[in-house]
Amino acid sequence: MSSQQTSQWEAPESVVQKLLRWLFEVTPFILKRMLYGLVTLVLVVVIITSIIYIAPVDPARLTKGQRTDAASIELTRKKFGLDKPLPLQILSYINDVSPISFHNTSSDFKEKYQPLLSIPFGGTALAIKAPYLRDSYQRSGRRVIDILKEAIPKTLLLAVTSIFIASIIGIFLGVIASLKQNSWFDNLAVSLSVFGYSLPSYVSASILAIVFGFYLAHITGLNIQGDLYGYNDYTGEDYIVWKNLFLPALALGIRPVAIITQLTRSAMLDILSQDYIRTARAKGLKKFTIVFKHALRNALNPIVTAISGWFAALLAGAFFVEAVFNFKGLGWELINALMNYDRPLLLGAVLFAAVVFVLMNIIVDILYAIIDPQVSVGK
Amino acid sequence: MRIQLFIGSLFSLFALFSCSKSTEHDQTNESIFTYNQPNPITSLDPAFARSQTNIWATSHLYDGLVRLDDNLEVQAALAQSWYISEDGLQYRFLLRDDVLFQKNEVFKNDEERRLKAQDVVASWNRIIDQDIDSPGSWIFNNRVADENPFVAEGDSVLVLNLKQAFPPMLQILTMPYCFVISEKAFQTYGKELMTKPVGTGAFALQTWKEGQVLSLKKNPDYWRTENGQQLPFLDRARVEFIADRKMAYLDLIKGNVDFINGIDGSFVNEVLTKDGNLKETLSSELIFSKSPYLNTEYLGFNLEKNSKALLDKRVRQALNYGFDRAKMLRTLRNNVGRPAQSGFIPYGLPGYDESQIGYSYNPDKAAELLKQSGFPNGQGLEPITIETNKDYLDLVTYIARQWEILGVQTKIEVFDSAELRERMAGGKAKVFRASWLADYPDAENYLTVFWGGNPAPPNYTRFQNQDFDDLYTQALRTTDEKLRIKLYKEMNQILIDEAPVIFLFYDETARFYRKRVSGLTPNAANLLNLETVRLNTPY
Repeated sequence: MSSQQTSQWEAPESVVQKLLRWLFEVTPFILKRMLYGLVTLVLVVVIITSIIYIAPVDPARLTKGQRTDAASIELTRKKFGLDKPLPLQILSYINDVSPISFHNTSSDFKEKYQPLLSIPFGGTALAIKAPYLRDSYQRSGRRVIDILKEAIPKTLLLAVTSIFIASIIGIFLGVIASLKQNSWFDNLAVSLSVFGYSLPSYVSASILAIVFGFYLAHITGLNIQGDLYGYNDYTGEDYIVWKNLFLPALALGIRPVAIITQLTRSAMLDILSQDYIRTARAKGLKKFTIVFKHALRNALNPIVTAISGWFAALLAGAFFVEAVFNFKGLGWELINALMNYDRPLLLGAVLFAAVVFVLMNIIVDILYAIIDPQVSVGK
Repeated sequence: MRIQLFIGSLFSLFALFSCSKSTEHDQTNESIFTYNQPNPITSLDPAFARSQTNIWATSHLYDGLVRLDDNLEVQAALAQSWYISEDGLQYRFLLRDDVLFQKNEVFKNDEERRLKAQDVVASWNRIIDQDIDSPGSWIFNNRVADENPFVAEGDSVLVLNLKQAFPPMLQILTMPYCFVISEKAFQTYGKELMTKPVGTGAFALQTWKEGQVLSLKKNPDYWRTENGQQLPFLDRARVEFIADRKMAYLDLIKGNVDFINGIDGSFVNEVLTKDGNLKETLSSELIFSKSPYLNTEYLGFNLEKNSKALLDKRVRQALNYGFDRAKMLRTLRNNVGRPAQSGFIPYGLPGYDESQIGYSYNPDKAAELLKQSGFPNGQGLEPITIETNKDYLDLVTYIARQWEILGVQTKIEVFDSAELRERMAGGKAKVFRASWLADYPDAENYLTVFWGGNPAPPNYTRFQNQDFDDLYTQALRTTDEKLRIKLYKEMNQILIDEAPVIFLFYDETARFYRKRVSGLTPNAANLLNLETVRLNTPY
């Protein structure tokens, strides 16, 4: 950087100074991106609330059944806040979610919002609180945040496992394919990965479930479906059923495997033809060392980027796989919320997914800026 | 070196997966009966026992004053006897004195666990309490007296006062909404009662993890006995929540689940022959039980706003004659269900009469009726649009094709179930697929669907008929059981003549369970009574 050249007399920057300067440069950028992110989240709330508002279904009737009378439905509509006009519904939801908000200090104010701090003036209070995602319409009126707290770690674990499996298999296949370019193995790996990429996850999930969880179950010992947590009726203990993670992770990993295989292969092919690899060969290094120490390390950059991109998608997009395997994570909850018109749960789940995407995008941008000096954070 | 690392990590990954504990059945000799529910339980509070899933769960945990036996007769339960006043306005129940609520932290001693009339008063008041907002409030609203509807006389007599006589009241009292909770538990737990049930039922709650598992254990103090043996026979019961019915079926075959209820297009042809019998290859492992189910499936016409042709009852009659119900059930439902040829009151319910001739397949008569109404071979008839949800698309398609043979142009529109119901309630649906499931086993529950005083729902067809309404009022006034049944039949005949609906079929329950299960009895209300169930070979 130019500043270093002109100020040669000064002592070189310490690490702390460097970090501070970098933070100073990067903070406005992060703030700007966060503002964009916030706008995105508000838009998500507006769009989803409007869609459900337009949907020709009355959630109140859905919870009360066919036999109930009009007065009773009206009561439920009021309880859900569905009797208010749409803009008011949206505003009051945003107010509920926002960490800084205004509330009526009615009887259930404290119980409902659990504010960390509330400054009352008149009948209203300014509250600082954790986002209140409301209560589910269907699920015994449980707090949405509690439902999500149970579901998200499972999906997170599922996503991590499947990316892990996908990376190992994908990189392995990609390296071999690049080393044996145009051989039968290469052709097979490439066509398989095209096939894998075009296979919808619910199809691969169903096939895996039936083949490995049913027909071959006596060999594999796997369950055809099942949640991450099991419950022992006799001891009353919960335990984690690790094997129930395997097939969903595999099913979810098939598409990333395809991508990673292709990426690894092309990156490796590119690098293997470069001069320093030839030099390494000329030096008489072992082939294994050349491939894994010199070539693969350099080929990993684009792969890591791809993996982090996929990770966000997996975290939010495991819907079908979770539904097929009855794996009660975020996707499963979301599908159920959709089917039951459970608006608070739906909004909560989608908002979480949106937050993940927004944060992931910001992080990836910052990482780019760190890795590649050509990318400036200001742009 | 690196490659070893790769392979090593792969192996350790597999090792990780394979080392999970197998804890299902290997610890004791206690018998555990597992069944599947595709839909999650939303509450264990009887006041919210609306869906079949909730009804089954609460019925393991709680009892009512009276219960239905397998022949749908009302039997004594927590009440040992009852007396109904001449005018039908007052019901007096004498409670059993040997009933204890399940052990719970809310009770300090056994005396507090004893069932008292005051518990019943508290339970039933909850149903009409606006703060509780129970979906079952309709069972008492406008029926029970405005003041003091439920009165406890001492500890063991309960009095129910009605506003006007309502003969099916006793049947209503068998519904899960009327199950008796402990007043003490309600006072302590309040709304938490939905996760902390305290009942008198055969099973007590061990754990409920919403959407994952419901685990029940035997109530050692249960009051019911059979031939001197205390019930229930099972030590434990467990409910799994596998949403995909095909997956649940495969788990039944694998033996992870003992019982599933209902058939689904995804596996029906694997398990049943076209005639509706269990396939031979499965008969060594499974038992298939089919029995009447108080559920009538129909296509309704909106009689308030509709095309002129469909407002003509001759056209509706013609359409009723115009398709083969028996063939439809055989080809599309593997014979699960009976053709609805005797009106709206389903097979299995008092008031159903096989000799009452409704509609069966008769294309000649259909053509004749179309001609009479001025639409020979369907000429001049506007196309009919049937609205359905996706589960019934195949049935509706079959009917539409058969109507087209008559010359009636038919279109089909598929809606989401909730949206379809909204369209039916709002009057937007002109012709719609619907079903009516009994809330309580009295034909009144079916005929009320067409009573002019009812809005939609339940009167989705907006049927208005003075004779019908008069008979309805008359039937509810009489205390003479035989006369009432006779009146019900007359009303059923009006429905057949006026044809406000296409009568499709009377549903049947289809249950599959493993051979080791015995003592499971079918009943038309599709209740799952686990009290007398046994498992023959414990794991």
